[in-house]
Amino acid sequence: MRVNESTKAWLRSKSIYVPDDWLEACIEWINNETQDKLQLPDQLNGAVYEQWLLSDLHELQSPCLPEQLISQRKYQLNGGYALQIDSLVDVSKPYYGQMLKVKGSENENVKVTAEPPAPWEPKPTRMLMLKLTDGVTEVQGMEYRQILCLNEKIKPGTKVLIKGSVLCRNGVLMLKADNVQLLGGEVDTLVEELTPHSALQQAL
Amino acid sequence: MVRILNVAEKNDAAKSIAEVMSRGSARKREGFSKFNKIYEFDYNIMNQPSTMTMTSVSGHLLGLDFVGSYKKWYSCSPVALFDIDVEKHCPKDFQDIKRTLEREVRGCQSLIIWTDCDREGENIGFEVIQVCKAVKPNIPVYRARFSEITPQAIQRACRNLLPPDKNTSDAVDVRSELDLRIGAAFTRFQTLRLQKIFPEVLGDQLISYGSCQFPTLGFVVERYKQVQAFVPEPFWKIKVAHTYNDTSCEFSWKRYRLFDHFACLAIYEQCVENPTARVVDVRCKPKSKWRPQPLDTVELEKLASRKLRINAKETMKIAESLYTKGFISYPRTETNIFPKDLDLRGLVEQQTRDQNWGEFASRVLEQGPNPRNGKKTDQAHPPIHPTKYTDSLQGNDGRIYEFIVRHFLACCSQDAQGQETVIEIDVAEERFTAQGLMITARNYLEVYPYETWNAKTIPVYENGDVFTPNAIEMAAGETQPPPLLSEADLIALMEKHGIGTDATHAEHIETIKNRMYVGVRPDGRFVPGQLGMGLVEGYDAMGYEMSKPHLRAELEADLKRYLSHIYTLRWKLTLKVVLQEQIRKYKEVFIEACRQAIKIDQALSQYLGEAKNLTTEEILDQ
Ligand SMILES: [Mg+2]
Repeated sequence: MRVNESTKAWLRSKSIYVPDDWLEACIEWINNETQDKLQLPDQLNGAVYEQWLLSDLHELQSPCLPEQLISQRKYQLNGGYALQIDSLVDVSKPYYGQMLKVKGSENENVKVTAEPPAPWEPKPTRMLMLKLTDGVTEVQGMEYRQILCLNEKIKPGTKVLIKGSVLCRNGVLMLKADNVQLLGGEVDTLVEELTPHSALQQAL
Repeated sequence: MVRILNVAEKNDAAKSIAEVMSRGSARKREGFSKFNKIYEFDYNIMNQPSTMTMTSVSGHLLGLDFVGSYKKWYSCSPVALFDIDVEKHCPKDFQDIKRTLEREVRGCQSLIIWTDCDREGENIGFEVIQVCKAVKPNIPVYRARFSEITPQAIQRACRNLLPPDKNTSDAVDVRSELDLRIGAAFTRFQTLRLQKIFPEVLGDQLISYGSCQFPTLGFVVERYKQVQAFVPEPFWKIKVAHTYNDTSCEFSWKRYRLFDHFACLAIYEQCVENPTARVVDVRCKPKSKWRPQPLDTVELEKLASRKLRINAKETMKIAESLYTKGFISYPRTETNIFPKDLDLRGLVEQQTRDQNWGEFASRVLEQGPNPRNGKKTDQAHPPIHPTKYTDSLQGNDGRIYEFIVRHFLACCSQDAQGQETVIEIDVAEERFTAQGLMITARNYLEVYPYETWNAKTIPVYENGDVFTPNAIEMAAGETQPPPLLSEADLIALMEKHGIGTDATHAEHIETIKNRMYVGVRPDGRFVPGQLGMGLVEGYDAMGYEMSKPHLRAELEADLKRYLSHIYTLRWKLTLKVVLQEQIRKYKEVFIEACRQAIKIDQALSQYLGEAKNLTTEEILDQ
């Protein structure tokens, strides 16, 4: 079967790049599953997109990020890039404390003291640090300004659309709310492998 | 004339009370115990002139123990100690005191109890009553209630004699019966076992167990392990410095710090490339530093430990002697609200003649004493305060007295006042703030050297000001583990979990030190010893969390709950139920602990070397 050019173009319009053989196999599988009932192009496109959300971009090997992004100290990224979040961690708080919380082994007694309260310290505002990939190039994304659609419970493998213009310093994208659109999905092998606990453990 | 027997809790107290009541004219004679004198004087009480005989005990007169031969270690299997009868008896050391009471009560028509007005004192009162009634079954008994040994307080007590409070005393009996059974059973069990399992190290060591002692040890072990498990982590932050008109000031990052180097670096580069600061907010607001609240026991112990470096046990010993000499009010209190009828003016007035704080006291008088009250009251005693001026005290006695006076005066004066300025700047869309503080009135701080408040000068900025910082820096740091427990921290934990009472915190801490379960470092921080560590780990491995506070805290909560609706007919019954329920629970835990005893051996062998493998028979064999 020939690659469905219209689906390919439709994916590109969403900044999604996939290899031809993957797309071919995907469409074949969908047709089998649905016994060729998906006649409308919209329906087929939608089904392919669903599959893409659940695929592991590391396996697709279809990079889209420019190479200079990580080699240059400072780089302005423009345009849209559909990427995968491999993991994320809040870098505004100590990982050790976060890990105790995840493990449920926090103990309030550790805070009990007869000393007067320490001088006031600003309350940290969350800053998520995302490990992003296009399947080949790994890049980090920092929550430079608050991004409400992100949270610590996002599953590994979730897909995200990064929309320029974004400044990238030393391989770190400085993300603001309108640079990020959460697409959804997950990768079950990554979900099993990368629990919040192991992400923190790695950070530690 | 009518003759009345009066009994105080200690000789010092009997002496001071007699002195106050007789205005110094009491006659002294000897009793059988050379430590407990008898003071005699005439006094008008209950509308008649009477001859008062005032003597004392030395704390508890009777002790609780198992009946007959069960006091002996090998008399029975330790588990039986949960069921064997117990009785109160008078230990040898106190027989003389008992004989004095028996002799004196014969010639008296009534008995007035002057023991300390707390629950232990109430219980001691009933021991005195038991001894006296054995001689004179129908003697009328009264209770004098007072919080300090001053003429006013003593006169008030005499005008308002009450019946003694049986309910409070009974609750003390419940606690001590339970402590006896649990303590004896576990102590015998673990001592007999571990002496034989580790004969070289523990051959002749008493390895005591107490239901308060153990959770206290547990807190020390828990914190130690938290410190051990802690993983320090690097972090980075950005600082902005600026000097203006010779005044320099450092702005700190509103994000405080980040735990990712590259994230911080990105923002840092952002700032360095656009290094112009713009003042976006200038806030000035009055700021006060609050004067201390009235002093209760736990605060006294914690503050003396932290500020004077006098440990809780020593502090309470000194405070009790200051109380029995009439210098301060009763030092065992949970109250931090001054009662409305307390003559604060008079108390402050007494302090005006002191060389060091007299002037401050005079100023408090001018403004009128204005205590910053807390929220707690035990309905029995006022907060700890000086009752009489003195400058004759030496050493730690003097330091504790001075602390109590200064704390009292500070509490009755005014909060310190200042003006705080917060400047917020924007550099490359990052926010930084700096704070300045001007102190406008030191007020209570002048008499209270135990606290400091530092002024901080910063340049004057106006909203919209633009400047180039002298430096923008990225600084690295590392997270610190929590500190090991200080004595004051340990007391705070005991209080939080209801382990022991204000009267016993210091003793439990002392016990775990004496047993070598914990050690104290030169900086005053507690570390568990090998034995303490092994015991806690062993019992925890059984899954009962014996070193955790829950089990014991439950009893205290039960007693407190039932004590709050005393005078109900079912009280007696309820108290029995509380006791039986607790005995049952602990007995279950005990049986399980015996079954899993090898876990204690294993835990301890990590620290003490190889454990001997013995059968239960070999262990119980004399
Ligand atoms: Mg007492």
